[in-house]
Amino acid sequence: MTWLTWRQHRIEGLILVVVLAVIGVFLLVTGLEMANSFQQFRLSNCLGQISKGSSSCYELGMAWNSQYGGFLRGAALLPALPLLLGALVGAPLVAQEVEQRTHLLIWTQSITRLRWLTVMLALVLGAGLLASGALLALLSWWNSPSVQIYGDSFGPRVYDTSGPVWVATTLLALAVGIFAGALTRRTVAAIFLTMVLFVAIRAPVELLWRPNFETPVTVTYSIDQQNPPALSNQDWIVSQGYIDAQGNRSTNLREGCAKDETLRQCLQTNGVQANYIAYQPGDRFWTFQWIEAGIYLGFSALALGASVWLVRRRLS
Amino acid sequence: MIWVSSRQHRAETLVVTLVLAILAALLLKTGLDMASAYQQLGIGACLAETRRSQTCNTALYAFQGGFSFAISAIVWLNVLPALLGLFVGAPLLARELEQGTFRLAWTQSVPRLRWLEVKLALVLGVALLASAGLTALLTRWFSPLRQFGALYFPLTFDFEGTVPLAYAAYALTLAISAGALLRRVVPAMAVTIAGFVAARAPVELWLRPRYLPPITLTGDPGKVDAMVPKTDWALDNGWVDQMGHQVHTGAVLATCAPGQNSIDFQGAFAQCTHAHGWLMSITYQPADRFGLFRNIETAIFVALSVALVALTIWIVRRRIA
Amino acid sequence: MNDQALNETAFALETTNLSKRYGRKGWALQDATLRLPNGRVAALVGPNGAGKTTLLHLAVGLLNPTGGSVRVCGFDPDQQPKETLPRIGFVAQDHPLYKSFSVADMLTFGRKLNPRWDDDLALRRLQRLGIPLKRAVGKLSGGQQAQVALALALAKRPELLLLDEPIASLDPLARREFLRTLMEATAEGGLTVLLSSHIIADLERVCDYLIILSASRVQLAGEIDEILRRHKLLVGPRADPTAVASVHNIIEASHTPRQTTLLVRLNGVIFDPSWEVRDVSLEDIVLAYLGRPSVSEDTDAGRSALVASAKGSAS
Repeated sequence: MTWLTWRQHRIEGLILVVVLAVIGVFLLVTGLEMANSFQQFRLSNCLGQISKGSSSCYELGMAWNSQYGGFLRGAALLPALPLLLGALVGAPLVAQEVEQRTHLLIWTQSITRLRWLTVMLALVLGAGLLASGALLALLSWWNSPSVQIYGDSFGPRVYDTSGPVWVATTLLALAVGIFAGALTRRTVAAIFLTMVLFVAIRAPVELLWRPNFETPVTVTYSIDQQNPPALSNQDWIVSQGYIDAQGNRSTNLREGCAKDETLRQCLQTNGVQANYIAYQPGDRFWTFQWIEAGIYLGFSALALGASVWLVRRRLS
Repeated sequence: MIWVSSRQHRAETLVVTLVLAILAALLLKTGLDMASAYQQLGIGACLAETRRSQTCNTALYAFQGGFSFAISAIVWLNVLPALLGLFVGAPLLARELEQGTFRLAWTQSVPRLRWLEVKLALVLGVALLASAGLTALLTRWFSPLRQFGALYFPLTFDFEGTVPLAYAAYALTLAISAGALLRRVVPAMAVTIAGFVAARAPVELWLRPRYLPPITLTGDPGKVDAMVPKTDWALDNGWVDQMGHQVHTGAVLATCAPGQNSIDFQGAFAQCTHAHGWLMSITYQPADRFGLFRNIETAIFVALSVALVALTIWIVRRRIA
Repeated sequence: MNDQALNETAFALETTNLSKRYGRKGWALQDATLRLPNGRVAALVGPNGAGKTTLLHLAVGLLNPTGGSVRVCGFDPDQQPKETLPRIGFVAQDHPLYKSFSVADMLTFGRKLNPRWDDDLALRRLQRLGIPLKRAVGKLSGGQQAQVALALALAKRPELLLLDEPIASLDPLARREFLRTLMEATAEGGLTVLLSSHIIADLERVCDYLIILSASRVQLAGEIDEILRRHKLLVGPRADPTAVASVHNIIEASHTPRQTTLLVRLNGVIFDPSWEVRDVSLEDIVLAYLGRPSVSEDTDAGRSALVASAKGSAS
């Protein structure tokens, strides 16, 4: 069965290795350049005092952006890689077998369907684990200079390609792909369904749940204060805005400001009592990673369980 | 023939229509929200101010913060052409070839090439129409942001005019020809994704800044900064010495503004750089070139599409048994 | 009777009221009861859509029954796949194979997945047929692919071989070759074969057991010798068949103004001298069964319907 999985999918395996190599080389080359540049920037010393929302190191940020903005934008696509793996490798696993009718051959050899599926799952998920693991260290190293400058470790480009979440989304994509293939039994439909399901799971978790894994820390400051209180650059501001007399929060001013009003007058006309910032401290990063990875692993288990049930009971 | 095509591809047509409808609805809603917020907060007047007041900064902050999510979400629309290629283009020929139904389709009374022509025309036509509609919507969506100058530059370029249509045509024709060449759907999909990224990324990151030689201005920080209008596309921001050799920004900041919170280009900073003989150098492309650039980029992708169509026709005519 | 004293595994395939329904689509198989003894080469005939594939897929565990039960070599293929799968050899319709694999790869496939694998057997067969081992399966002709699929199934050393329309897509030469290979395999003993087809002529030479499936029901099942002995053509002057119908089963009746021809399944002897008794070919028997209305002989309503149709068919 191991032999069969390898023989059937050896071309995909080779392509995966090639893709990993290409990405690896890209990360290595550009990462070295960035690391070098970063050393030079370190001399400006402003990094030590950088804090969230302040305009310090503005020049630094601008220079970094103009040089590496392109790469960073390209790297924003990296979180899509697990999805591609799940859609192009995971979805066809069962779907193509049924679509091309070879399931009539393989499921009447001497191994049970359950064994066929579990061995294949183990090998494919194992390969996914290895592939994502291989890039992990490289990605962290690559992201490190930008994270120190921008403080966006909770942003998708960094967060989604770090540690447990990176590996868990790879497994999730594969599990969802296999489930979609077992459900639809047609390759193109399975690939489409994989993408839909993956986004349907990831988007709410990332956008709605992640900011609230733990209750954010809230800091209020009076409207007299010119500058908001300084936060560490690695903190993640989840929301900020205004508190009115009743204690209600809002992120927008009700009426906007007139041209000649001072800021204080404007806020008062709008009924604002105080400002607030709700944030997640940077040291919660790894806790959040493990929580989110656990969520995705839970979904993966669901998808895999459903796949096993479908293959054993429903197919053909 | 038209009936056959639409019957064959009706599932995809349905899904594409649905996706576009949802997208259009979202764009309309967020676009209207953004336009009204723009009005309410007085952003237009605010941006015109040379010295921004505190209220102005607050308003700007509120506006940009409130819509930062929508703007970053829009970036993902860049994958739409690739998705089109994946789900409409890749199966077009590959599925028939993989399942052998081409032997049925190509022995009806319609000759093989005519069958291909009609399919290509239909699929490309509908795709271009849909792209045009979406582009029009996006152009309106971006109008408030355009006042910020070139701040949102790549977006406003990628989603405007004929450029998105060229991307769509390229992705589609790439997928169709990959399907004809490889004769299997999933490999065709993989090639589509790889080929789309391999064309878009280098063109956008490397070629586009160089369609025409960029202009470089050097001089004292305060002066140079003022000479480049906000609407122009700043490519590179660096420092050179009197001989024209590059000086690393880090070194300049370390010497003239060590550990400082903000830098005033007029004051002590400028004196310091002047003393060291360092000049600020800004490389940029003026905004009046954008139209030309769009045409050049459109032409590149249209040329690729035409070549791919030719390849497809050649393969279908000659190679397939 | 004696049958009850015998071991369960005297029958390679045994179904009791086996039924399969697909959602709302209706019954693919209804109340199929069969007992296929060991060592037979059985033909499963019936028109397309009669339920032949469904029956075969139920027997190999690809489907699970909606009602009734099926036993292969004494085991339940759905609940006991570990025991059943090594005992069966199955070639599905259009002999699916991994098109990108070479023939040698397909043999490795069989070797890795089956504990009781006879590699030499497969190699000898393929060599004798001149099938190149290195070539990709997708590049072989239809006949060669069918032979590869059959070799794979036989190399498993099964007790029961099930073939779904194995010769449907083969040219006459390939067809004859395939059947010859099959005969050789069964001659070696210890193998029961069930092959489905809608071409009857070829099967007569090869098979000794017949199952007729029509409109999702088993119309007839038994040894071919027995069937030929029990089915006769009665030719006589135009008459009402009710008298005959009360004793024997009328399968098909046709009337001309002067003559009545009845194809009957005898439940005894014909005493009436006005009937001339002739032998019938297997093909005609099968066609007659397939042309019958789809009702069960076991119910009174069914029987009267059959009689009515026998009376009513005028030419």
